[in-house]
Amino acid sequence: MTIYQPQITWYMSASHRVTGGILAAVFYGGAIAYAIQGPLGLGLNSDALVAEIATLPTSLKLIGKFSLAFPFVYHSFNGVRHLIWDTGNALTLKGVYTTGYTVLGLSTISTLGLCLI
Amino acid sequence: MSLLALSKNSSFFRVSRHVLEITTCNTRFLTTTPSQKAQTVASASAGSNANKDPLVKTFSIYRWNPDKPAEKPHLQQYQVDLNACGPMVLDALIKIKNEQDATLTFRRSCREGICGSCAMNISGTNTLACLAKIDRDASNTKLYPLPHMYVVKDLVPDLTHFYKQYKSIEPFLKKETKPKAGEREHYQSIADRKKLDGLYECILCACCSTSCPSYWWNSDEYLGPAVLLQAYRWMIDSRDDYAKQRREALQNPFSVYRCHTIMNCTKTCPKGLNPGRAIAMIKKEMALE
Repeated sequence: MTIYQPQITWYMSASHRVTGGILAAVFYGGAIAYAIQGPLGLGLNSDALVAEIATLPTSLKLIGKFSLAFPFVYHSFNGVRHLIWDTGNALTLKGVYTTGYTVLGLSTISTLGLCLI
Repeated sequence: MSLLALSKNSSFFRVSRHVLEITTCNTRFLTTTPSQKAQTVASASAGSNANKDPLVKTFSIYRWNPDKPAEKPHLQQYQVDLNACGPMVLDALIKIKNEQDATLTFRRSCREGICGSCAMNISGTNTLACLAKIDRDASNTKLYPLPHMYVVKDLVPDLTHFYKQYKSIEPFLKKETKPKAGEREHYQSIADRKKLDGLYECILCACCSTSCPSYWWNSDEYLGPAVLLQAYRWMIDSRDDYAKQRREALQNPFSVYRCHTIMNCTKTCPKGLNPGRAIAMIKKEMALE
């Protein structure tokens, strides 16, 4: 694994798995934390959370938004790419690279968009 | 007839040869003077060599000796003058073995990209050494055996399991009924024969399977792109009657479904085939059953 040439093929596939893991951790973690907050006294309601985050410096807010937005967007667009592959389309080298670059481009633009709102 | 040296390639004699052919129509001129021809060829190549400065590049080659198993595998560096060497990586390997280190071990046979013996990892990608042009701009070329394979020696991988997997998909024609007496051919339309294009040309070099991360992690159960390409080749052969059974044999979580469409296989195939697509077609057919 350490000697194999970095290529879009397997790097994007690895990223798909990693972002999937991150999203799973965030969603499961968030849901479980919300479910068991009673005895733990976490106070995870929308008002408290909004108030907390509003006090953070802008840089931290941007980092937070980016680290949530990019995995979500990348995994979603690459997921669509996988679904296209399941129909049997874009399975040539050209198709793989074209759709790959499209996904990377769309992910970057969408992340920027989501970070700025 | 006077014994003129009629070297076919020599332009000096071309005019006189035509004249002689007209005048001696009953006899056939067939004189070969190999020594003279060899001289001209040798001087031509020596001449072109003398004009170029030696272009010395480094080859870092993976070495491991099973006779000394305690010694760790390591990269050994060799210097090769590319201007005194053929253009392909295999030429450099043979040159090193002939001139520098006779213990360097690698598989090779046809030197033209059809036997699949010289498959190895060259500068990070799996290809055939006889088809991989030496990168004249890179200062160093790294040669490793095929990734995640047991190494027999130096660049020679152990392909026993790979061949066993190939055998397991029954890569031969299977008919329901025996042929009738007198019937010799299995007829196939041109359209059906076209379906096999891009599948039958596989030379089983194992470049694709050993480029697949899924095959790295699950080579014991996952069949890998090369074997699955051949499985598909037999599945869609119109002359074969056992397509359904072939698909049923793959209905388990590992044989086919470890493929996650990483597509390293198609990228690396030295023959330009598309195993990734073949596997996707297998999945489609299995899903629609």
